[in-house]
This record gives sequence, C-alpha cells and structure tokens, in this order.
Amino acid sequence: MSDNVLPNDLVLPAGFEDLAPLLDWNLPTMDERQDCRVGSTMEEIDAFYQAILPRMDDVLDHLAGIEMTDDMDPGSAALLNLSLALCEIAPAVEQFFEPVISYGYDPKRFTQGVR
Amino acid sequence: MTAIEDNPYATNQRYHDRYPEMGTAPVSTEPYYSPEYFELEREYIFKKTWMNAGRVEEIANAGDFIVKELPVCDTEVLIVRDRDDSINAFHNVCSHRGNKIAYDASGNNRSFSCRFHGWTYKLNGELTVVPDEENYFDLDTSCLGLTPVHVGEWGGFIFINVDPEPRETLLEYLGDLGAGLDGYPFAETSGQVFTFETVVNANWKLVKDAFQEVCHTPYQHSRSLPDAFISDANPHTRFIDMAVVGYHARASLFGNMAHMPSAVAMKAYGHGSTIAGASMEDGEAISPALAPPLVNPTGSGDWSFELNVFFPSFFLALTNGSYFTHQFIPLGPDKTHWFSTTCYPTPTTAAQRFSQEYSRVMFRDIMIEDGRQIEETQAMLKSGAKKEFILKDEELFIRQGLWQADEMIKLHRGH
Repeated sequence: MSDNVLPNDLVLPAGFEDLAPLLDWNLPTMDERQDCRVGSTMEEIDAFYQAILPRMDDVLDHLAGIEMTDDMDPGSAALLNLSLALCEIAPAVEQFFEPVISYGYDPKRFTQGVR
Repeated sequence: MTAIEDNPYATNQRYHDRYPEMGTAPVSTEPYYSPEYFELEREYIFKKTWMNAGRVEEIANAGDFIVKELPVCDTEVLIVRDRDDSINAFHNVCSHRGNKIAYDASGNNRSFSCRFHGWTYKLNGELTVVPDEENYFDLDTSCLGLTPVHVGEWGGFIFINVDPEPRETLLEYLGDLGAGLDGYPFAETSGQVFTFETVVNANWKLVKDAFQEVCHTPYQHSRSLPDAFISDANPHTRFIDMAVVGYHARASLFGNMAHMPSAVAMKAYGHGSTIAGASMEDGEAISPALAPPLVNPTGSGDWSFELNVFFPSFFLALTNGSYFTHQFIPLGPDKTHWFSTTCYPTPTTAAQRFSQEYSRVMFRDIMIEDGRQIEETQAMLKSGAKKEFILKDEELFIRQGLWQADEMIKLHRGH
C-alpha cells in the first residue's frame, strides 16, 4: 500500500496524502505535543514546520468545513492534530529559535488542561 | 503645540498625581517575604475578602460540585449547584467528627455522604441521614447542616468569602469595576476554557506584579512579544489609560497596530481569536456600541485588551472575543498556587480550534518567560541586598496592590 495508509489504517482526507510522513505529530493532547517539541531537535521541528506551513491554507479550508465534535472522522482529526502541533512548535521556530525556552520556567511544572 | 504634546504616549502625565495617598516613594520589599506580614494578609485579607472560585459552567447541572482548596484560609470550600439552580457553598467538613464530605476536586453528587460514619447531606447542606441516630444524645439534625460559606456570582464568575459576616456583598466589593464590565459576553466566551496551574516559589504579590505592567515586555519578552505593546509613537509601552477603581485596578492596553504577525499567527487570525490579535472570525464579538463602559473607555483606536486586577489576586483580561485570567492563591510567604485560564467561544469548526490553540500555546510560552523571573527575584530578595523596589509612574498597580493590602489589613484589624 502507499504511504498514506498508516499501520492503524488511518487514512488522511483526499488531497492530503502528502502529509502522511508528518503523522508522528498526530498527537491529541497538548502534553503530548509539548513533549514532542521538547524532545525534538530544532532541525526536526523546522522540518515539520517547513513541510506543513505551505499546506496550511488547504488544511484550514478543510478544517473550516469540519464540525468540532468528539466523533470527527479520524482523517480530519489527524489533520487537526497536525495543525495543533504546528501551534505548539510555531513559537519555537518563529520566536525562540529553540525547542525549549532558555531562561524560562520549567514547562513541565505547568499542569495544562481543558475545562 | 508640538507633535510630542499631541502624542498621548509621549507626554509625561503622572497617573500617580491622582492618588496622592499612595505617595511616590520606593516601596519596602518586606511584604514580599515577611512571615509576619503574611500572617496579617491571611487573617485580614484572604479570610475577609471575596475571592474567585470558578465559573458557573463548571457546575452547570444540579449536583455538580467543585472544591476550592484555600489553605490560606485554613479551609477548603465545597461549591455545589442545587436542584433549584442556586449555588451553595460550604466548608468541606462533616458536622459529626470533622471529616471531609467531598473527596474529589469536582464531580456530580445527589447528596454528600461522609465516608467516616455515613452522615449524609443534601445539596443545600441539610443533614438528612444519621446512621444509628437513636444512639446519639439530644440530636437536633435541623441545626447540624454543613457550615455555609458566603457565595456570590458576577458575570458567571463564582466568588466566595469565608468571613462569616462579610463587610460587603460581592457586588459592593466589585463596585464600579464590576458594574463597568457588566455586559461583557462572558457566557459566550467561556465555551472553551484551557487551564494552566503551577506552584511557584514566590510570594503571591510578586507573581501578581509580573502581570501588572507591560514595560517589562520589550525586555523579558523580547522574543515572544517584541513589538506587541510598543511602537514609534509609543516607544515606552505606555498604557492607553489606567485607573484605580475602589479596591481594584484597571488599564486599557496599547496594541501596536503595525505589528506584523508571524506566518502561523496569520493563519490563526484568519480563523478566530488570539490574545494579541483579539479578532473574531466574524469580526465582532462585542459591538463597540454594546461594549461595557469599562472596556476601552477612552475609545482608543490603539486598544488591544483590557486589564482588570481585582484585589487581592484575580486578573481578568478582556479582548474583543476572548479573555484570560490569572489567580494567585498564597500557600506561604514564598509559595503561591498560580492558576490561569484562556477562554474562548465554543469552537464550531476544527479550524477555530486550531486558532484557539495558537493563542493557548503563546500564552503558556509567555508565562514560561515570566515564571523564571518571578522565582529568581524571590530568591534574591532573601539576600537582603535590596530593601526597596523603585517604581515608575506606569508601575502604579504594584504600588496600589501593596497600599491596598496595608489598607485592608488596617480596616479589618481595626488599626
């Protein structure tokens, strides 16, 4: 099978098959996305950023048509998670130029949740 | 008139002139570490004033409850939605032999039953079940309900006051600041709430002070917020307007309209609200005509958000379409429970959820920059090298917070 079919049979929505190599960033919680940012090199983060940013207009066009519900189709949910991962690493690329903010508070000391 | 005089951000107006009772002298650092002063704050501020304890959405249905831990008040408070939709608050303690009667931070109960001996209370605190009731002596269950705590609601925020006889009602306490913000669409902007919590090794006022001015942003946030609050016309990050209102303080924050959003920020702006951008997908969460009187009261075209500091330690920052909060609950003279939320409308599309995440991450990363400074400052206060802080005019709220703490201690202590 082609690359866009993942081990767990997750299929990205049609037209987004090229994003399959980024699915290591398909992480549903902020904690997981932050762990991935903190555990990645700047090169890895930048590679993800450079790969997804040019596709974001199309991704957001798709997501704008997807209702925000718990039973979102897995392909759209994966696109959303990739978008959320872009949010997580955007400051590292655009503001801080490093995965972990130097001269900063230990990020793991913040308990982050959703209410 | 010169151009400088026409520029409100370049004049050397003095907000301090309006509050001569607060003076202009350097302020003592002692209240930031003194155990003795902390005990005064505990007795005469935190045990006497109204404190935010949550949002109505957290207890939307009958039986929903939250427990607010308040070690500074030597208690924890059980807040519960009753069947008649009212909100009740009690000390979380059984009338029998003092065990707690709610054991989780939140949940839904039909009643509260003590695990120790099974005494059971209705949502209104009435004692309804006493196992082996006949074995007690002269038991009058009608006067053995849970011990109530004063509770009030404003704008969907739940406030409690552990003083058995508060000097003021909640609305009196919130005063003109609460009234001036009435009408902000809190219910609509509380659909999606993200939370951050940490225990920071610093005095609660030091944590609070980190958020009471923006003149630190070009330095401490030189990477995250390099030009958000600064421009050629406003080179020193001056506020649009600031004022002390009753016990509280409020300011309109300048936003640099020439700020160039990053590539990802641009994507986020297109699909919802962000802290810095503060724009809604539909353009207007609050019509200017409907905006509460104390949201951008000067009608400035440079407005970015409204900062409200409710004494002692509840921050409510309002943008056009989202808001964020901080609360600082002391755990000791140099330890604070720091609790923050960023709050948005319920996202209807996945794209809106993306937009909110951008704002949520930036908010956290900015707090990461602040948190380090806060603990470093607290650590160095112990050196005793600096006995005073030097405050400029735009650091008025830091002075006001210290002044108001002194005043409230005097008021409740009687001298």
